[in-house]
Amino acid sequence: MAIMEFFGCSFIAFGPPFAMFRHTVAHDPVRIIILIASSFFWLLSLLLSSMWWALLKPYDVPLAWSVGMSIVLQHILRFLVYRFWKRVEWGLKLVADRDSKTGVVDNKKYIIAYVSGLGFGIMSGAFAFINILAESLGPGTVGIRGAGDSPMFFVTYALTTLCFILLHTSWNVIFHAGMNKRNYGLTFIVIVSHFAASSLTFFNKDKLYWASILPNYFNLLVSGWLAFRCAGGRLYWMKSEHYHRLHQL
Amino acid sequence: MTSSAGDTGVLHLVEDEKSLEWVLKTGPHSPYIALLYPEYFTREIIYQFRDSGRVNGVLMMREKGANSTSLTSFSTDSSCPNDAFGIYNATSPKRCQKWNAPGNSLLFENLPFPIFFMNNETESEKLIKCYDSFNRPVNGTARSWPLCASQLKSFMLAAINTPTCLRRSAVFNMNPGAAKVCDPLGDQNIVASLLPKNATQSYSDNSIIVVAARMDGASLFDEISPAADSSISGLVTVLSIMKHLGKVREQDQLGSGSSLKNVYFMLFNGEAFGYIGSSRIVYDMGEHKFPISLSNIRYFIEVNQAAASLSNDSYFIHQSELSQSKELTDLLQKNGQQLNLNLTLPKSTKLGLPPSSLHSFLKERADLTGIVITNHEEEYKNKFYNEIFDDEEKIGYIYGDKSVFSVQQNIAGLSAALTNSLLELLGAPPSSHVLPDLDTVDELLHCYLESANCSIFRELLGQNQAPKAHATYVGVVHSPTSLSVVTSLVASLYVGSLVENITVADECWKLQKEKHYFWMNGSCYDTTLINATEALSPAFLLDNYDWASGKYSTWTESIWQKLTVRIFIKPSKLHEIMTLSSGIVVLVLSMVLVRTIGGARLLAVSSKSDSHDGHEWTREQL
Repeated sequence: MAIMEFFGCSFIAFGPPFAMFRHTVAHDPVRIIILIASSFFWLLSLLLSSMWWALLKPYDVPLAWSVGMSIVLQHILRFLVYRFWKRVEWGLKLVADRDSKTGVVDNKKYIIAYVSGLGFGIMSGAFAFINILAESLGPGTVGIRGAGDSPMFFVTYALTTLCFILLHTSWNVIFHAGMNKRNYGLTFIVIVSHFAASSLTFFNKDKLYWASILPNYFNLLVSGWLAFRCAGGRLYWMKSEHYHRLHQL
Repeated sequence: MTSSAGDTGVLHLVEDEKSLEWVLKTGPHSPYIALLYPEYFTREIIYQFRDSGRVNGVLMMREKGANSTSLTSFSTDSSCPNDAFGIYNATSPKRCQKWNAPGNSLLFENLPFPIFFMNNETESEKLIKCYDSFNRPVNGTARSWPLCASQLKSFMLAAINTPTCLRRSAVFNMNPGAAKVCDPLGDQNIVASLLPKNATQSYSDNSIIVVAARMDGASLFDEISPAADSSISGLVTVLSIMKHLGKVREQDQLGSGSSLKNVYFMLFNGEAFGYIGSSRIVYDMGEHKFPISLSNIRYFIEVNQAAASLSNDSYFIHQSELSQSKELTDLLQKNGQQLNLNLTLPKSTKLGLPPSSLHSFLKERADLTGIVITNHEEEYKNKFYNEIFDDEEKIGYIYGDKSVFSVQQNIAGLSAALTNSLLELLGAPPSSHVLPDLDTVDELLHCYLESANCSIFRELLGQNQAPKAHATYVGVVHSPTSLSVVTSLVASLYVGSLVENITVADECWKLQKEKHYFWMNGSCYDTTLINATEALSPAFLLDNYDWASGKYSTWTESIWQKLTVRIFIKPSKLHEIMTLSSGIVVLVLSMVLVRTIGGARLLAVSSKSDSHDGHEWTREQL
């Protein structure tokens, strides 16, 4: 029953983002607004990327050019998201103050960055994965051409999608931190990390699935850790003496 | 016939006893889709598939190898075609004489799984390749998942039988016809009169000759029913006779003074399914809805399977029992001999009348003098009767081959011999006698068997046609097949009279309604003498017809959805369960993790010194 494959892969790719949504966003209407609005910005970047790809199509350029341009566009949009929320922050505060339960902008600076990153990520994951999921509903799986095509395709794709959703979330936090503190090194790290992650996925073409998943998850760990730190998080068992050294990140 | 979601199974090539056993008993990955060559498409094997419950579908391919001479017979019609609709009742020994010995009756069997035919070599190769790469057992042991599988969809809406599906179709619906689940089989018969009927006079008894052939074929598979010997051979013979006689008429050489006043040509449709067309004409005659009646007919001459291509081939004249005419058969034999054609009477007297449209007429008038001319004496020469392989190759037809013993030569010779006999019967002088028209016969055979984009059809229809043969299956009523449409035009061309004073198409079309003028082939033809009559079984016209009586054909065709076949790799059940479980684990784990690490926790950081304006942060405060 390929419907099992469908549900299995949906849960893998969208399970953690769903959990994050449910526990950190769903209870607060303002956060939901931020999430949806940021998703829209990602869609804009997709639109622009596809226009670029369409322009290049007659010239038979390798896919890498379009992927690179898409990454650049996504970050431009990410920057616009950043500016947008900065501008709109006061409005959100107005709305938020009315409801005493929310505290989205009080002293949790990177909530906006986190939520908008999650929105970015979920939308990018959805567009990457939904049509593959739809195919997985059929009775068959990948592999009829032999030559290394693996029935593990769907699961691999799901894992990669999950990775990217979480990566987008982390990148957004790091990006906002970099912009806020004028530490453009951080911004640069985000762009490099994104390029690295996307480049690694080119290994999938040659069926070297492990070569793309493992390094990308490592990338995710590093970015996640960095985001955690940028947002001011500390593992509570860290001693304060190390504080000054660690903050050099 | 199949579930609406399609039937899926693992592909397995049945090419010997072992692989058959595998599918039926020993293979561990049932259900299977059986892939096979025509030699294995037999009644026994299909029944075994049905009874095993392990087969979800059958994919049949073309014969293996380019030289397709290994298949000696393939027919799914009954071994006694249409025996229930003939003149012999159940107790008569002449009823079922195994005319179609290779017939396995699968055409009429209710099978619970879809069966598809792969006509295209490239597609068959893909199937074999997929099977070899993934499924072929190695040293008798099964391969492991993933395996090559196939899904066949041929969902039919109708079920059980005709009275049931008609009743279901008649259910009231706001949208008329929306509840329909089946349609009666039917099309049009083509009836042409050689001479115009005198408006005041009606025909006296025994004054008309009927020359008939059937134009439909059948097969188990949609759109492939070449019926080369089964019907096209006879059809082309009669069309050629029509052309000969039409020409003689135009030259005013028909003569008069004979007691036989006219020739009616009848081309029946739907004969393969219980003599639909001929039974309807006989019924119409009884209801006085037909220009002539049964009593008007003196001779009924039918040309059945007429493809002959060897030097010692002959044609046989089968006669009805109650009324035989030595005069007629002698005449035919004489005219045949003059053209070096062997026309003989069957030696055995125990032989009944072979399946033919003549049966419909004899049922209502047992003393009608009728003959059926075929290329076989007892058992059918045609071992591929009413099935997909009854094509130009099997009858040995080669377009343009006009050598002495070619199919074209034999059919043209038969047609000329019959024409000359008819001319004598009509009282025409010996100078009017014709010679075999090889070109027309050759071209007609090409048109009907190989490509509809031939010169004759193109000129009649005025535009290019698809370069493949028209299917001969009768189809459903109210939807005339391309075959019957083009055949009526051919008949109009041959038997219609040229209107000489009209040379412009528009003038001709203006008079279409009033005078039945038709513009084709660059000229205007008066087509009053050619008519199409509805070929629908009387069972669907009579109120309270007793469906169980078996008097008339009651075949219907189910409404069907798009027919598709696809192949793919199927993962093992284990793989799917593992994927689902991993997904559930990931979901649950993440719900738990996020909850405990928690929104509040993760994001309740830096409680000190966040200011509203991020730009005032200092380095230490990261």
